[in-house]
Amino acid sequence: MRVSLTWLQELVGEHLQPDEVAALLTAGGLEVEAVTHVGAGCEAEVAEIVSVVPLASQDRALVAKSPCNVAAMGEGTAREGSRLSEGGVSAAQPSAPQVPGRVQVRTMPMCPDRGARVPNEGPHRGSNPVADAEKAQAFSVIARSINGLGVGDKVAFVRPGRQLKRGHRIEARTVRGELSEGMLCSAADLEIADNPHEVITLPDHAVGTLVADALRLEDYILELGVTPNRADALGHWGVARDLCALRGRRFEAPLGTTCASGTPAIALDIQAPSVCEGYAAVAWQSVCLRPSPWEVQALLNRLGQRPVSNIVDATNLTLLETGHPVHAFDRERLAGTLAVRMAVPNESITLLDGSRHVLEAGDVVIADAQGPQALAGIMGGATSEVNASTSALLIEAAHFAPESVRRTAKRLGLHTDASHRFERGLGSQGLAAILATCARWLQRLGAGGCCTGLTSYTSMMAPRTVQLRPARFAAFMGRAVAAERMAMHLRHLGCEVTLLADRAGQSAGEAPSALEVIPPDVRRDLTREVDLIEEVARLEGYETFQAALPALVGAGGIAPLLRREARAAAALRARGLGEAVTFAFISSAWLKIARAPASNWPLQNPLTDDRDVLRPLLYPSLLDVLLDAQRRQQFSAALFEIGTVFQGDGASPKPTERTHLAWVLSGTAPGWLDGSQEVDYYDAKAIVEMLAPAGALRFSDAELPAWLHPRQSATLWSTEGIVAAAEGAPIGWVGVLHPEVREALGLRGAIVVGEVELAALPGSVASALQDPPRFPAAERDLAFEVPHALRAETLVAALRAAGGETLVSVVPFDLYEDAALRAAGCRSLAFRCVFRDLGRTLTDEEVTSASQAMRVAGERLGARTRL
Amino acid sequence: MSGNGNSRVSSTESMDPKGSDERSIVNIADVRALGQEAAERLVAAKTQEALRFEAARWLGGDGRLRRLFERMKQIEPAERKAFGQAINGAKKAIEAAVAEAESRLRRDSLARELAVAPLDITLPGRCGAPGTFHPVLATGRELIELFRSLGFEAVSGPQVDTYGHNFTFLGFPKDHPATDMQDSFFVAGGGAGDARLLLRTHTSNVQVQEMHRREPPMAVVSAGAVFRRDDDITHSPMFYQLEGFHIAKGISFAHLRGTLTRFVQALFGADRAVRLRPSYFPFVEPGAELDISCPFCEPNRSCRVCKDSGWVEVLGCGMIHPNVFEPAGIDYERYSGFAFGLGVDRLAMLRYGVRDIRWLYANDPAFLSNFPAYVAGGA
Repeated sequence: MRVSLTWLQELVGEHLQPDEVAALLTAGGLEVEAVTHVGAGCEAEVAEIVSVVPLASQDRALVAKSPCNVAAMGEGTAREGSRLSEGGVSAAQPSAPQVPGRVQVRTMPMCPDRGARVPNEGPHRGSNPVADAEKAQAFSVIARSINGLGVGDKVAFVRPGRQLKRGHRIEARTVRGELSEGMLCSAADLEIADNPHEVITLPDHAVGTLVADALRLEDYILELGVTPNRADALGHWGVARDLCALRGRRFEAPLGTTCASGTPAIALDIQAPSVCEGYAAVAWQSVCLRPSPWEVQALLNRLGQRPVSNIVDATNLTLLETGHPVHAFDRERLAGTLAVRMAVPNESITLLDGSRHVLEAGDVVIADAQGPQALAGIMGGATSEVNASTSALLIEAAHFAPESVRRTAKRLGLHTDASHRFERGLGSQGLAAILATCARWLQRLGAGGCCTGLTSYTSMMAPRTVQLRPARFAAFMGRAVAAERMAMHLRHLGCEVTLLADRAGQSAGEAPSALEVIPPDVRRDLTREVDLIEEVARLEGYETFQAALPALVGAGGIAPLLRREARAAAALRARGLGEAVTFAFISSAWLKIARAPASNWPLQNPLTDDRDVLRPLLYPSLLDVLLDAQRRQQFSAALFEIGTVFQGDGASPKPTERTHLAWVLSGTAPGWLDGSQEVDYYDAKAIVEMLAPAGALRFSDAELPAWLHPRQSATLWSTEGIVAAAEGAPIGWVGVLHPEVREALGLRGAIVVGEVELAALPGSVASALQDPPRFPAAERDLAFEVPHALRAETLVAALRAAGGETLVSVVPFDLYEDAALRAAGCRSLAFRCVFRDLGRTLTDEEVTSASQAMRVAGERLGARTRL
Repeated sequence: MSGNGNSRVSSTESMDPKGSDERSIVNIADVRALGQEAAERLVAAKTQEALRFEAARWLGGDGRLRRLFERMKQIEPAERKAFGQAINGAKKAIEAAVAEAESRLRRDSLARELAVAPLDITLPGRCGAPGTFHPVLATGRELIELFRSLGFEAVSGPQVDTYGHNFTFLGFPKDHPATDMQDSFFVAGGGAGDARLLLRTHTSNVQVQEMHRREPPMAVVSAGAVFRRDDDITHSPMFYQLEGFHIAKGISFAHLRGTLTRFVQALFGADRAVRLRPSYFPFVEPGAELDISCPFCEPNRSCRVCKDSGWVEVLGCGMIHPNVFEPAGIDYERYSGFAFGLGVDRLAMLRYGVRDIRWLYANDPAFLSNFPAYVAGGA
């Protein structure tokens, strides 16, 4: 919300520096996000027109490029306007064609003293006041538009060498041989209103007066980030109340104009008291619709409100001042009793912004005999809108239930200044004061007329009392504050506070045991003790509460799976893989192309169609990343992701979330010195071998998923993880991406992938510790031609069994294939076998005989010994 | 190959002008000459192998010196002693020559090893390039470790949770703006009302989960992905948060400040000033935002990070609201607690100077290569 510093200063009756106010409000919980200095350095002065001569039309283009660039100024203001007046009418268009002309103006000699307003002025300023004064009497200016200007009019004029605003100096310049000495300002030039075309006239101000002084243009605008609990701070009164309380005193709202008349303004019928705690309205006769004074228009503009007319402006100023919306109806367009009621289904209303809405049963309307005249707390209706012929008003101030306003505003997509405030919860007790404020503005803006009636309704509500125990405060905040001091803070906020004596009959001078607090009606967020604790704490200043460390309650443990995640990530990174993070949602179409199982968990409201389901596995996301990389001509990639997948069938109440680890390698394997080799199954498998002890993992071709190459892939099986694997299901898989899937996804080159449920991976296998050996080991190499049908796993198991007790390990060290072997359906596999006895050195004969037995065992399985 | 074939020896020594058959040796001078000859041959040996062969020919069990000794009995008894001494002398000389030749050969071999053409030491190593860390996950894991060192236990929570756990049990007022359809991703298949399923919009659901599952005291921290329906330069539909809370008897606002000050100073340096200012979150009261003095400001330069305010917002925090205690069945009069939540992405963006949050989740290899996982390199 925007707050004017000058207005705030007026309300609190103190001249405060902008930085001081910003710091104080921020420390108190109303965060000042930005402070903007506006109207600074404007040296326009009031000048009187001596003569006006239209220019030939061909000069128009040139005139438009006058020092005050119309296009640039217009753009800036239009953007501001559209951002700030949501739902408002767009910037006014010029009603008549622009006629440029030469205007002679007369002004007063510039007083040298005035130069002091802007310190960094040019050398001519004040250096030769006499010459300056003589020359400064009359100026001849080329104006963009002379529409409506006549001799004797007083205009805002910037003489050559002076600034329109800070950093924007106007100089005399020649336009096609004609000298233009200065500039006549439009409302947009002065940042008063949107209209960039018409030169503004200032009939009420003396020639020579600085326009910035006359219209009070200089101000600081504070941009407040008001949290949703502080509906009370959405107006200048609320901000002033906090500012005063933070400065140790109580804010008194200025009085308005009370209605003298004792007659009711209108017959009122509150049919929906559950959503309307209070309703007040005044009737106002013989009003005169006209533009508000420039000064007020300038204020509205600074605060982001587009000036409309004195009556509309008065209601907007009331909103900005009190934080409570008011609405003006054209009294003569209302017929019969005014009712606050629930909408009749399919009833419709056309609003002020021209939009038409069909209403539902939950919507609340203000209706007269003809039908709905306003959507309660959101926007008035077009039928009873104030217009040029309006002469009588009915001005309402009311309370509407936040939930109801919110529901309707949300459904109809109408977020207005009024609904923004009602949704957050306004009071219902001070409606008369709000109408009185509106009346004050009507008078000040020259609406004329007088108040002829007042009607009000309030449902009687018991005052809310909340207890605050000083002892509780001290325990909660870590520091005690005296009960009297707490009472003082709360009273500054408008609370009524009673200090309660201890039940046990307390003598004078003893500390009270509790404060009984009645918060002001506008502070509906204060309902429990802790709310009051917060109020006292923020007025004391959060910075006044000291720091302490609590006693430890735990030993800084970590869930086993989280530990495993961190370790796996570190290991994979060390191996040269990059960690990726993809979204939990994915395209169901992509899943299908990747041959992944369909997701059982669609999103009800996806942001885009290509992220419409929760992912059942990680690899489709990584393949998507890979495709992106390939589009960037990056064909060698090594990526992994540790992330959540969402499984379980649709019959379960919520998805089963599992943490998976997936990896994808593509292109050539790292290692430039050894020639570029494409990645293969063994590269992908190496990753999982790094994660879990080989002996506890089984690789199989059972249950091979459809997205993998049927002959170059494996499923992973284990039963020893942190969590048990699902019955009859592998814990993961690894292999070459199926060539058809690769083609369908638009991927190229060698691609291997793997995925495993991290928690299902077996941990370290418990085995007895081995002492370091004291006797040397002996090695023998065995090489076989092995038929494809015979797997290394089977062969090694047979070799191990045959090798006897002294065989320590059998490790493959060479895999060889050539045309002849392939033709024979074989490959050559060589194993290094290590033998060792813990108690002695093995003899050559023993080792030879053991390896001989292994050779025989291998041959028995169909492997042929190679020599 | 063996070194004891005479014929072979003779043939290799055919260049010898004297002829060195020991049978012709009759006096001491000849013995000395023989020793001299041996030494010269040894010195001339070009390889370790040749040296071994030559040494065996002179000193071996069947070597020429041995055979000289065998001739002792043919020598006059009076000369035997001197002859023996001469042989011993020759033997020592030969042994010394062998040792010298050995060391010369070793020296030569080392010298050859060192004299190779220089490698281009600027070419990269075989395949030692490290992988890359993800700035958000790495920051999250680092924060978790930091809070563990302050006694918090690290847990994880579900990403799909009920409306109740995500909003209602945290004391969000009904119809709070954050509960909008526009702001949350709802997941099909849940129940109605509080049983509706959604992707959690913050990690605070872990607080509900743990408070409903455990008895105080507890100090828990959790980080993970959260989801909101926003996608622009400052919002990603998925992002990362960290949530922590400490519930025990006598926990006060002072403990909140103490713990978070310790955390901030561990992360950003002990000279960071910490500021708490009042703010609002439905599940804490008093609520606060924690700012730190801007670590990025440089003297006399405009600061993009703090926009010259001197302060950078780091996290939201506060004392846990009774509205959160009550549904969890924890007595608000007996226990109190503080909670805090921070945007891990935001912190990562601050640390690494990332300007657009969407870069963090685009997985562009070129972007990720900004974060090599060196042992010596930061995260």
